[in-house]
Amino acid sequence: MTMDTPGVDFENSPHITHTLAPAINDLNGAWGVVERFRNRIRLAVRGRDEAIEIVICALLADGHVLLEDYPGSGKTTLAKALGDCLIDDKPDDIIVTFRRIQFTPDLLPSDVTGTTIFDPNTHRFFFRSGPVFAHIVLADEINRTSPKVQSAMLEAMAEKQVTVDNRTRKLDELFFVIATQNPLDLAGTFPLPSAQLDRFLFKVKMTHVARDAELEILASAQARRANTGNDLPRVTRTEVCDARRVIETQVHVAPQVRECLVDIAQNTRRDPRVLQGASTRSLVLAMPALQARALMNQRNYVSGEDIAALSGLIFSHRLEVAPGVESVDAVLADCAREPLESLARLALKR
Amino acid sequence: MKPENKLVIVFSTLVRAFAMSLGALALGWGVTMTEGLGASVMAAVVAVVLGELFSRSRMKLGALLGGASVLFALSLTVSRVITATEVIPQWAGPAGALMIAVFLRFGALVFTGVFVLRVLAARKRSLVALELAALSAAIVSVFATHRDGVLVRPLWLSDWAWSVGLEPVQVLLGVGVISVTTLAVLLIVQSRNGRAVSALIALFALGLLAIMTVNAVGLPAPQAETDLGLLTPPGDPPNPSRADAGNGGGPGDQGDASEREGGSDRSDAGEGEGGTSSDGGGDSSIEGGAGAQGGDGGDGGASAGSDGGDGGSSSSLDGGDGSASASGSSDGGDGGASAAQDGGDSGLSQVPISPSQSDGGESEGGAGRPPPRPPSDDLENERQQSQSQQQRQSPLAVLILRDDYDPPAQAYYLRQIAWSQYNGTRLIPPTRMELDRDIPRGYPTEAMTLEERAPRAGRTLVHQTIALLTEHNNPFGIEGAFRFEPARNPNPSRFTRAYHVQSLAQTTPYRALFGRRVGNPAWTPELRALYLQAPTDPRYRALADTIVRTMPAARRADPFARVVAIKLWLDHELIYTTRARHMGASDPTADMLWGNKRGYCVHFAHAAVFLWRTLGIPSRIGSGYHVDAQNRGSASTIIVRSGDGHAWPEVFVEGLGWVVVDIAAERNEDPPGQPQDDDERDRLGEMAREQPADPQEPPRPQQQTPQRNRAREMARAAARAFPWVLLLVLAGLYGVKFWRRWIPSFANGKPAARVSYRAALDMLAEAGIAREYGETREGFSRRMAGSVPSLKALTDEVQRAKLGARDESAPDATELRAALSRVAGEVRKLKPWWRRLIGKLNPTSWLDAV
Repeated sequence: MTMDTPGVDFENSPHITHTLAPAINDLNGAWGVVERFRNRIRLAVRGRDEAIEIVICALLADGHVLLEDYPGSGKTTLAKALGDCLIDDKPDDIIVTFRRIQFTPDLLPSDVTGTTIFDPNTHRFFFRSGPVFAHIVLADEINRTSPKVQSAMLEAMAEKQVTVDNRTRKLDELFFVIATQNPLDLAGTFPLPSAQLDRFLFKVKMTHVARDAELEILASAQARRANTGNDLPRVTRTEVCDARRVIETQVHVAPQVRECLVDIAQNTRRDPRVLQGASTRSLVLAMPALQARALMNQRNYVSGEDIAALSGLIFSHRLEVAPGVESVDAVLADCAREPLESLARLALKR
Repeated sequence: MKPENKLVIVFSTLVRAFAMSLGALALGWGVTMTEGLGASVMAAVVAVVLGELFSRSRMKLGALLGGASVLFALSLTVSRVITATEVIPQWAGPAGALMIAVFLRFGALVFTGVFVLRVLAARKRSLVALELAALSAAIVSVFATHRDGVLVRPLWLSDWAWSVGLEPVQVLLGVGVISVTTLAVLLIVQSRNGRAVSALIALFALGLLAIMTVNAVGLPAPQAETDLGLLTPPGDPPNPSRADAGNGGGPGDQGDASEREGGSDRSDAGEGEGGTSSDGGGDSSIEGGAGAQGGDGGDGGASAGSDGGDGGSSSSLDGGDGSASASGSSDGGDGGASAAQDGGDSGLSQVPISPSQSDGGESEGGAGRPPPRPPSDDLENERQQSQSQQQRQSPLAVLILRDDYDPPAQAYYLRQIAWSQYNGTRLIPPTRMELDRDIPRGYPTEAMTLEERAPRAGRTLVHQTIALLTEHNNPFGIEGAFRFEPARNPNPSRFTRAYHVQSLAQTTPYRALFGRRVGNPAWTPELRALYLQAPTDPRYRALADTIVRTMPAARRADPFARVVAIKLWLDHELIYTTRARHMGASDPTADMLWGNKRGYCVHFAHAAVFLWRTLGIPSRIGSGYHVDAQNRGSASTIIVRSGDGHAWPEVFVEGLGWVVVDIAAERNEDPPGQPQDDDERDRLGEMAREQPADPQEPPRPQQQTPQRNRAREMARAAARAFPWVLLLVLAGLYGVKFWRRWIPSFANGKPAARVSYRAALDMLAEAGIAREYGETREGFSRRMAGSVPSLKALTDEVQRAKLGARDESAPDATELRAALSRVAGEVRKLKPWWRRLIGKLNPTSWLDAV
């Protein structure tokens, strides 16, 4: 369902809105965006509500997500459903709604970013954009490709721009990457170094789908194939960007919450079981994520609950623990306990 | 499994190793020597470390325990083999082999115990209690002797404390604090729970309470003797008790009785000799005549001998007497009691006292005392000299007079036993049941009335309570005692026993007795004959007749006048000295009467009784204690001291019963006793009455500096205030609790969210539900969503108020109150009524609402 093919029937395209959506300028509007995402994706992906929440949260927080899961557990379905939710309301540019890149060892950076091609007709070089020029990019099995390609991808993720032949091209404001990697079958892979892992806002370890959800998936396969729910409202690119802005400005972050977050990071650096603690960048990235999660829980303030829920996702792939320490999550829980407690005590203080 | 901090692990292992080796040391201290102790300490440390390591390994618990027991059995076998075979003793020498064996045995014992406990505790969390219990039991075992109130017991500890200048009790308290702290630290490290702070505060409060209780109530005082001075230092010659009685008291109190008569003597040496009488009687009787002179110097051990010799319980009195004269035993009462038992056995079985004992007595007598002085007329001089020698008399018993009574003899005669049976040498306690049925033959186990009692006429009923400070083997009371009843011991740490006595005590003045007949008409002739048995020596009769002849003719037929005449003659002729020894003589009384005329109460009493009996006057010797009426003063307490032991002659006056007619020698060669300490009397009296001593005067003034007094006063004041403080604290806690519960009803605006949420948390805390450490507010309300769904609304409100923007609208107080009452209803369904009641009564439940 590619959008850039010419000769598309614009009038009937489901990807183009025909009525002007009201501008998003308060939290209610942002909440509406969240709801629309939720409803559509939940219909397409069953039994993965938690992962859906995380992905929406990351999208609204302007961060990227690394999904770590077994094959066939719905990663791609989730990413595609997300892409399906979006409406590109800027159809003039070269950027499309959704692209998927399947990483392989022999992939080259230009396969990702695009390349300049000589046109014999015009005797000029022109730029053929790569798959990163999309709003939502699914980077499948990102650890299977060479570091060269990985770094090209990661530059795009960090800077939201691509440099080809010394010319830097901007990506869209809403550039969102869902990368996946397979925790098994590590032979011939290039594990991402921690500096590159730092580019991902969340690293999500998905688990097997519960029995009931699995039954439901089987039962609803027919309906999903028939594109039921395709008429549910979608979200335009502008709406997402507006929602991001609204969330960042209107969800209140109390100074104690910031203290709590910083204290957790400090604790990770002080803990003898941790070789490298949480980076400052991770804290900067964390703030919008916390705000987004607060909104998604119908709050206009960030609470300790958000920190407790997200700290594992934000920090666990950024910490390097000493050899012999089995669980990063346990270390993080230990580091977070005391700051969270003092934040919780705040409620009873005058 | 446990992502614990390495530092914490190392620290807790160190603390545990230290504590365990302390415990091993404490257990092994009394049992083994250096090698065993060293082995124990090493084994404890090694066991803790290995236990820690192995418990973290993947080995199964059963395998670990089995391995430990196999190791234990192996070590025991090896240690046995080492001493059983010859190889190792030959190689290392027998001492070395023994050392190795001990080392192995104790090491294995301690290692197995500590290792098993550690592994169990590490694998099964709840079994930490077992380890802690074993540790505390081991440490406590050091102080096991404290159960009797012997607080200075680990002497190595208190000696050290004293040498450094500390009070051992303080040191012990310090040790207790340190060990409690160690245990607490171990527990906290184990639990790693932030909530231990309140537990620590509670622990601190408990410790404070314990110290205050100790200060207020004081510690049990096990050795009443020491602080009351019951034990005089050895080598301090005990006081000759009769100094007062024979000398000062004598002429005064028995002034009524006026009569004198020459008579026979040496009744007393008989008892001294009695000690060896069965075997030595024959030859000593030959010396007896000469013994009149040599007796003084010769029988230094009279008292000891007499104790052993004539046996029976009588010697208890001898003992009381004897110890007063024999320098060896420091405590008259004790000496008497213990000697009495020996003597009783040997006397009854006619077995001579063991040589060592009589030797001891004699050597003590000989060595402990300067050689007897030659008789001197210059008594005043001597008395003055000896007055400087103030000797301490330790109290033996406390007598409380429940009725006012002034004895006509100006002295209280506390009769314990009577000697009325003549055994050929001296008078002994009756072996025949029909004699002296007015004397109790043992302590009452329930109220006991004697078969024979004195008539009421001429006597008055006196109730007394007697508390014994030392063991006596027969009860005593003011003469005429007829009813004995056990009493509750007012202070078992001081008094050995207490009992009530009723006496029909003599009120008839001696003057009124002239003209009365003697003897009891109810007696059978046989019984009367027993009370008249006397030595066959004709000199007694001759002396008695001589005395009677000096009486006015009109009085000569009056039996009581004869009694008094003989008494006065003896008063005049005899010289009181506790140094007199007549033991070697076959008839010690004769030895005295016709010898140097020196003796003490027992000799005098024998002389009087023998003289009276030859005149046909039924008489006996009463023995017990003699307390001067002056000593009582105005108080109703009489303190019986070690120097008060006495024996006195008694005459049976018809219609009045046994009447004490004491001999009071006019001349005394002994130094007078020390004046009585009235304070001590009052204090002991208070104690026997179960009343607290005067608070102005602490019981041990000589041991306390003013600073200590002040400290004690302050501690006491603090202790007195403590219940009130406790009550105040309790009231405060309840006040806070109710305040927190009721304030939501009045709160408005932003604070309403906080107080309502707090009240909800209080309710949950009462039901025993609290947020966990590190749990977020929302997490808690989610956890409670199943049972207390209304909590969520309150949580959200309070979080919004705290974390939301400043321009946030104030919560609706009515909504909050509604939510709160919903929470109350939901909590009510959570727990049974009794659990909720406990929560409601708990004054500190709100401390858990965090």
